[in-house]
Amino acid sequence: MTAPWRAVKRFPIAGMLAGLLCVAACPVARAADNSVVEQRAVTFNHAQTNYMLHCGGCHGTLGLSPPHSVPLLRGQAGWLVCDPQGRAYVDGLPNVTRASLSDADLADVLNFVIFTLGASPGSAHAAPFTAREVSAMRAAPESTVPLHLRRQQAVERIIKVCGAPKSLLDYKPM
Amino acid sequence: MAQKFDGRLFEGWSEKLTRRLASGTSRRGVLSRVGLALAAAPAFPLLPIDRSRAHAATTPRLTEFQKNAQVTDDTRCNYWRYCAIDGSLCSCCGGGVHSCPPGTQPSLTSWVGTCYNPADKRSYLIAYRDCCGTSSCRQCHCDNTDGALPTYRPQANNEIIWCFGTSSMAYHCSTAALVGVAE
Repeated sequence: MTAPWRAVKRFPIAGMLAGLLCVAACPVARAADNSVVEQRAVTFNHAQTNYMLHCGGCHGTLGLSPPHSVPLLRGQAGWLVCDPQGRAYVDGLPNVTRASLSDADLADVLNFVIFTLGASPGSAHAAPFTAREVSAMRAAPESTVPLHLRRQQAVERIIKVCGAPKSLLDYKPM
Repeated sequence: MAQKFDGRLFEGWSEKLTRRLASGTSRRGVLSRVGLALAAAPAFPLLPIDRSRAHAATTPRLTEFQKNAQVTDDTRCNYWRYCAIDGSLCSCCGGGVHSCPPGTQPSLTSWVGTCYNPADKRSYLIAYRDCCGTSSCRQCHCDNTDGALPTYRPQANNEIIWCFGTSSMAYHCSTAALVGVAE
């Protein structure tokens, strides 16, 4: 470790040249570091990829989001299907029903979010989403009850009926 | 008997045919016709086989950005991970392609899309996380739009400032963090 420093001390011009070389090569070196990250990248399946592309921007690629601005999904979303009213809230989410995905692909994304990413005691005994359920929820007219109110009612109910954590109330839409 | 008769009849016919052919054609004539056919063949188009699908299967159709993308310099707008970035590159602002400059805070929300890496020919999920908390860096401004949509699909719009949840909505620069390989 000490030898290169000694060399730079003894031959300042060599040190300067090395510095110049570093400046020239820095972007390349950084990009090379990037390629190491690329080689180690995790491969996501179809449902996970669709989650990242359609939900992960706001809800976080790991399901972790600023809970006051965006509802937290990781370890929490599963509570919503412990009760029919909670499930109806999920079925009526506009950005879910309007996602540019087929019924089957959307069912796969919902199952990933509810039973894997957001798995909780509340989702342990719930039925998985199917393309048929997705098709029906897309055909249903959108509720006239404001979305924030629907969420508040659904969350208060699952806290009371299923024992869901009160942290579900952290989301405070403006 | 019948076999013998058939054999003789066939022999007669073939002899007659061969003699007629020999008297009507010359060896040189046959050679010249065969030669002409061989020489003229390339001038005619081959059978109309649709090869477009086979070509598409081996070579993906590239966007303009993908055709010019490079993998060596992450301080330039055509670095492959910046296929849909809109803003200043943190690589030019004291940070890196996946790290915020000192004094700024990474956003928890981001624009997520897929970019094609020409080096290994795979598509990766990229999260454009904004670095927030100080005024704009204004260096290396890029605006690429592969896969970006207008604001009526806000989650796919790259003009949005993604500083939600951080202590300040002041935008400084954008990173391009690699999330994983898209299937």
